[in-house]
Amino acid sequence: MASSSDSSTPRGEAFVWFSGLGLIIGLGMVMGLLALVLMNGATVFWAPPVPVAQVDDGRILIGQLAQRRIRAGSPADHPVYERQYQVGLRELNGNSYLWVDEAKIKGETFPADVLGLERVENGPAFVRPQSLRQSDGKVIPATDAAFETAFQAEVAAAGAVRAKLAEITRHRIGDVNAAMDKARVALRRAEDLKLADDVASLQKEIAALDGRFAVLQEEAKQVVAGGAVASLVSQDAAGREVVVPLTQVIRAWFPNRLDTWGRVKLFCSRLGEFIFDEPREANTEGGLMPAIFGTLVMTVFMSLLVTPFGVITAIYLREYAQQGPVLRIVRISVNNLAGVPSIVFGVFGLGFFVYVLGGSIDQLFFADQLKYNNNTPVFGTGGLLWCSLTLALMTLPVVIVATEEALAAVPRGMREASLATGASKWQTIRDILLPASAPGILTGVILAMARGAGEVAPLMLVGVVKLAPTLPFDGSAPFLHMDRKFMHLGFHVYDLGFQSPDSDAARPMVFATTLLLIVLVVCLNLGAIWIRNRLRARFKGASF
Amino acid sequence: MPQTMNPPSAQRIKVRPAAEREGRKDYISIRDFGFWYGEKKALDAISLDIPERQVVAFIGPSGCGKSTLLRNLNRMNDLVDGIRHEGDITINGRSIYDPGLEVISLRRRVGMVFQKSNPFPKSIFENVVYALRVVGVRDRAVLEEACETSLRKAALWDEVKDRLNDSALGLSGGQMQRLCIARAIANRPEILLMDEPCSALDPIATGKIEELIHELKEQFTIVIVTHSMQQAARVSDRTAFFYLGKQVEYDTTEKIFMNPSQAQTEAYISGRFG
Amino acid sequence: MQRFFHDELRQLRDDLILMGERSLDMTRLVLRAVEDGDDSLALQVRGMDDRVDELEKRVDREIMRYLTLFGPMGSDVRLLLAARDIGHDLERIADEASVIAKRAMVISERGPLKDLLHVPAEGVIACEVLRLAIDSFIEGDIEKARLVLRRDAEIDALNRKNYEELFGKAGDAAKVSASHVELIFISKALERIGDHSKNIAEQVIFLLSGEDVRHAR
Repeated sequence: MASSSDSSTPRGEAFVWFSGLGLIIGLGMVMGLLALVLMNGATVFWAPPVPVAQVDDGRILIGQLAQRRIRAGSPADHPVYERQYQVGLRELNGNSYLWVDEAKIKGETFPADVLGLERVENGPAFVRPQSLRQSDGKVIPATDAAFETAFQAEVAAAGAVRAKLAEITRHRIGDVNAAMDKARVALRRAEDLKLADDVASLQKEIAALDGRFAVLQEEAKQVVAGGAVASLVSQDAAGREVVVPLTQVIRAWFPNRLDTWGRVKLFCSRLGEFIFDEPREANTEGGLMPAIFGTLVMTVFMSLLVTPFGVITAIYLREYAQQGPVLRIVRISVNNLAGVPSIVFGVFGLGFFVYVLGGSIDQLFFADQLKYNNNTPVFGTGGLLWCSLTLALMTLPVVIVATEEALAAVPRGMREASLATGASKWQTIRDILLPASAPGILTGVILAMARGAGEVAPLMLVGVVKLAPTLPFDGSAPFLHMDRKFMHLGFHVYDLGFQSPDSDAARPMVFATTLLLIVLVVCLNLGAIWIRNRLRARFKGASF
Repeated sequence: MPQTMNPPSAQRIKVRPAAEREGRKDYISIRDFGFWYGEKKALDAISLDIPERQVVAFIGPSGCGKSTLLRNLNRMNDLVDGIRHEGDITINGRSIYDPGLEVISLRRRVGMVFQKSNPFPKSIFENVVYALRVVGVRDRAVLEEACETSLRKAALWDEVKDRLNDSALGLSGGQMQRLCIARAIANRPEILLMDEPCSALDPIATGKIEELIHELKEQFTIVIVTHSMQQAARVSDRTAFFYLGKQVEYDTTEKIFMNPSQAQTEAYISGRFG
Repeated sequence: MQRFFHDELRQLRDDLILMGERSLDMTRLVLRAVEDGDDSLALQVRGMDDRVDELEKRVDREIMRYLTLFGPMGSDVRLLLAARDIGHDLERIADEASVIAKRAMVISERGPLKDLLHVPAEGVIACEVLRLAIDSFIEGDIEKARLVLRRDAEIDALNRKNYEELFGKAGDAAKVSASHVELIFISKALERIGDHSKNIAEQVIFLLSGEDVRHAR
């Protein structure tokens, strides 16, 4: 009816744009952040062609282009670009990364024989292979057609040997060491209490463990001896000869010879290592398995702790407590708790959970352990349990507020219907209110998880470490070790970014780890959202 | 003529006239009952007797206190803060305010159906047997039998018997309200309170609920609050008219609607009110 | 959907049918009383009138109750309106029968009349027409109701004939006695019964078709 110039056209269109602008700015920032992380994180594992570059000053270098930037202090109208190459071979070059002025690069070629190597120590290497000395002493020159096949076979064999060695040293010897520690503590206790029988049997046990240790060490030596023969003779960019024993090589590829499919395979292989392996080289290489696992377990525990606690509190506040000024003050305090800086929770966790609670637990249940094991605390130090509790405390207001809202949103009629059938208040809460408000409660838990999973500061105080020797979950009873310290993705990012000795090498890993952390949080949330939607579908038609 | 085409009346449940159904005349007895929400007096000096196994309708304009009185019969008003009452209400001779009488056990004897149908977000079966579950019945056979009996009484059995485990929220409005009636009668209360049970329903569903009330009065004493005078006239044996918290007239439904003794009642039922 | 209060309409119909049968019985009995000069029969008929009056009051009560409590619609409204008129007509028929009984007793007091003129024939047709009217209501048969409208003229004709034969040009004034005057009243009452039957039939047509056929030429 109304034309566009009609005076009845609603006013206030400007505010639509104004509020829309807010959304656009917010979305833009989030999208920008995600794009940055995605670009930098996802390309870490991609293998681009590697150039051989001739520099003005006569230097020749082989390296993967890492980044390109405008040199600091160069005039804005004539920017001077410089490139960073990852040249590897840290033991020879002193540094894996080199900056070169773009103008000084005379030319780049991509010869097919450039070989990339990922090594156990000293980072990657880019070389031009000369010949392969196989385990049986035969030498195959790099020009031979069979070279690549034989070379990759030797790399794979070396990998198998490394895996076997790791199994022996890390797991079996580790188990023996753990048993030995335990036996020694028991022995000290027995000696102290003068239990002659126990002393004798424990000494026997220790001797047996020593025996097993020696056997395992011998086994390990043999494995090493069996595999440490093959090596690669090659030249670096400057023509220096580099001999690389293949036991040192984790992965080898010809970056200028790979087809796309080969690059994808390499990408997947590196990604797999990143997710499923343990870290190497001060966390700058290898995988993040322990950190992923630690983050996951800690978040799940935090949720398991915070949900019942928060829900019960909210039920009391909403259903039982006398509404009045006191309750209002309590509510305001709970809401304010959400605004307390997280590091404060960390300090509280350290002071109360770790020292008071953990110390008391040690005094009560692990007194022997303290006395005979050089005062080494069990629960009286940071650990998984204390981290989960601290974060649970931190996210408690979120769950309380969400649960209160959900309970308040349950239609009054449903409450009355239940009471009118003769149900008690508690039966009404248990059978009607909680199921009906479950989706709302889960929304609160999702928010709590999202906040908890990304939190770092308090965890540094109460149990997260740079490198944990063991996972909080393993095959020895009681399987789940709530007292153990663990690794965490968020802390890992901090550690890589600020504590790493080789910041250039750590840089790509920072992004990759960040991306992984975001993916993990998203997965946890999607899981919770999936559960919530299933609950909603069950109660379809009702509005919560 | 339409009547000749209808099925013979012998097939229908024959409902005995009120005179034959009469049990105790003062089954529910309200004496000098007054009620306050905080400082506001909602009911003043109400005195009426509700006979056993009859339908009594409360009518009156909005805010006249009819719902308040109804909700006092099972003490649902206890949920509200700052309430106070005077006088007494007895059911079968016993005061509902007797300190020895737990409010939960009172509510088990006095079922209630609300204005807005309010099924629980559970299956149809769980909705009906809820009242039995809260008293701790676990025997599946007992629950199933009670479910079928109640649904049959609520004239819903044939419509839902094949989907008892489906969500109750998938039912139509009229079916939901009948489900709520089935839920209210599942633990065999003596009295059924209905607070405008048809106000949100279409005429067909309303008709079904009214039929149901007509049949349920064989077993239950029913008190119904309704805004529809036609409904009160159709379903009730006795009618009470309230105005501004006071009881204006209480008599047989025929008397109230054909020849009320109070001018106010006459004005209200003939639509000449105010 | 059949509602519980529709049972009350059935009760109303049953009461009307009962009234109709009672009125018909009275008409038949009173005719026999006229023909046989039987005073006891005539007395019996006069006693039956009270019960029909009772029924009329009951029917009226039921109609009022239904109108106030159950908010009727459609054919139910027509039934209630028609029932009110039919009840009234049936009560009038019973009154006419009672009037005839009174006249019959007057006649028999003065000694029986040899010649009843066309009154017996008129009575037979009146009973038939009343029967038809009641049946049309019971069976919902609109054709029977229309038949009533047509046959009413036969009664009117016989009534006129009775009058013509006694007081008309062809009539013999010397023959006329006081009893004959009573007979004319009886004839007139039978004619009224015919008219009431016609009214009932008109109400049945209204009930069945919604068509108003009153005062049609």
